[in-house]
Amino acid sequence: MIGYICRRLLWIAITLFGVSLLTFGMLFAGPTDAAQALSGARAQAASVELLRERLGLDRPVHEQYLTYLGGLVRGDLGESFYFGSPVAEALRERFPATAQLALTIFVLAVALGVPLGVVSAMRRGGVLDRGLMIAGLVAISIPSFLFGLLLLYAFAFRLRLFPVGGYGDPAHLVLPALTVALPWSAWYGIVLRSNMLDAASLDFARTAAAKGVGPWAVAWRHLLPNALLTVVTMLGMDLAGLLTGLALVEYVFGWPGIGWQALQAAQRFDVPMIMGSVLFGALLIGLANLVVDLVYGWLDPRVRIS
Amino acid sequence: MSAAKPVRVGEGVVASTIGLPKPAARQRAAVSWWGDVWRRFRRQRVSLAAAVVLVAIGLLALTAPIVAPRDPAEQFRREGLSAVGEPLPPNARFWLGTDGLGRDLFSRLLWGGRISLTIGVSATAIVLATALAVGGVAGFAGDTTGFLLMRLVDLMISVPQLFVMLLLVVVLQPGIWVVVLVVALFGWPYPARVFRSQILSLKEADFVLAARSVGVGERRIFLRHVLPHLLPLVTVYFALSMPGVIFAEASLSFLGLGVPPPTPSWGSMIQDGLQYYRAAPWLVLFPGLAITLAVVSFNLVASGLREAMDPAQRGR
Repeated sequence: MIGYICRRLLWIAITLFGVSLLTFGMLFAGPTDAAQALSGARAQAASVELLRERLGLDRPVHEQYLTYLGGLVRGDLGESFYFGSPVAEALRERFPATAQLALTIFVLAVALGVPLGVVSAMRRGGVLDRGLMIAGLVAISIPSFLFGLLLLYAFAFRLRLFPVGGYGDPAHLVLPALTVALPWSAWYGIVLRSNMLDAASLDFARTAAAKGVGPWAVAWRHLLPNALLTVVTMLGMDLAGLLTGLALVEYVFGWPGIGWQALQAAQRFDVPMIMGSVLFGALLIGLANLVVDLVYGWLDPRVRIS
Repeated sequence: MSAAKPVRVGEGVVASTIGLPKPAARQRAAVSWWGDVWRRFRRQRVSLAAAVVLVAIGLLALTAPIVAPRDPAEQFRREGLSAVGEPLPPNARFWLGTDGLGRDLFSRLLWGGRISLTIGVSATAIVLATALAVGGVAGFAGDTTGFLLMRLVDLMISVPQLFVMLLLVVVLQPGIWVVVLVVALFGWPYPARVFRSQILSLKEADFVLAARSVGVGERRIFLRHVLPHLLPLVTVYFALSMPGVIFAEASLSFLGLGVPPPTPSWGSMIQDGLQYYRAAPWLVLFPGLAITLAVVSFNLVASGLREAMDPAQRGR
């Protein structure tokens, strides 16, 4: 077990190294001169050169990369072009807000999605089942920022039930969390439903029913654990996409997390900040994937053996 | 089988085993595989309706220069804005209203669709070509190459996509073709993985063994014998990849880092409209609905195609 975790952590480290290499390569392959872009089009040549020197952009590429890599190993992600302060510190400061939003979304999505999936599998063809099908289809077809804007308009501007944006008390959390959690729960509810229906035709389900276990108990005790496995696998594959959704929602609602910070950095040509966000995001996805796989092993004893 | 049992027309195998001609086999006209797919696709009304919607959207986008009532960039400063300079709601003259600069929203929506769909189709074409190339090489080349390519796929899947896209767009500077490339960059890994596993199982098929045993080269086996069998999967993945690509373009443009102004795309129109969101929500709503309608249709067509091409999968 320990060995497995160590191997996975090593793979995460290799991934981060690969990502840093790729992003650094992209930076220098591109036609944009960072010093020029930062100083603006009308800046004098001398001041552009001064800035280039101050940021260390005049040194050879491999030297800059090695410096960056050396810092990365020690958890130093360089300094923001825009603020001049350490990127790692900015990420650390903004991370709790993102974590709070992500956890709320996760809890909401599970609390809504699992009952939705179970009930619509049991009441196949019923109103809830059909409603869920349509909701799930719309959920995967609407961009998260658009859904967020619609909720914002209806519940913040029109009905004035929730604040328009910001951070602090629980009321601020509701709309951004629902923006991601609602589509997510509908989509995973559908997957859960179809997996449960598949499992219902297997021998163990028939045996349980033949023993006299009621239909709901069969669904809850026997079908659901099996159906959850596939959902957990899907979750692992969707993590990167979820982070994208999270970033856009943070942007729409002015939620001070790492996603909004990265998007603002992109609009300000703050390259070290975006690179830091890319690496930090990759680290988060890698760790979350590890957790997903460990949970999978815990749910399914068959996986643990091999 | 007893000899007394009468042989009915249509039991071709039985008839041929006892030496009679097979009358039934020639009665049904030959149906090509695609004809069969179309027949099964047509029966799924919802998917068929979605396909019709997509054709309509595509035609509107293609004919935007003729169909659009006004120039999408023309600013109607006087008749297109209210007395206090705010955008107009939908009315008889401007069917979907006007935006903050007094431009006709309906015309911009048509032209925006043209741009968004052009980006979508080109990026999807790049995605599929890359996925086929990577999947094919990984499936046919040696173990080491295959292993390395699949680790590259793993790497691409575990990267925060939006952040890397932002980095690329910022470095390469926004432009339509930059958006196409950046958006395509993150579309190929997942299809490549699916194509590879399909190729690996096709490689074990008897017809590949037959081809190899008469001396056909590996490259030719891939191009002439394996690739045609991937066509159904590629078709499904065309429809499945479009939503992601459209989303990515819309997200970048929404952040002001996609298609540069004044060219309208559905995403950049939402960004434009954000400024007047409270007073004129239709500026966000109409392009948003256009994106959602297109993506819903692509998803429905994809599921319809999947069922039509692989009826054994029905109901999943």
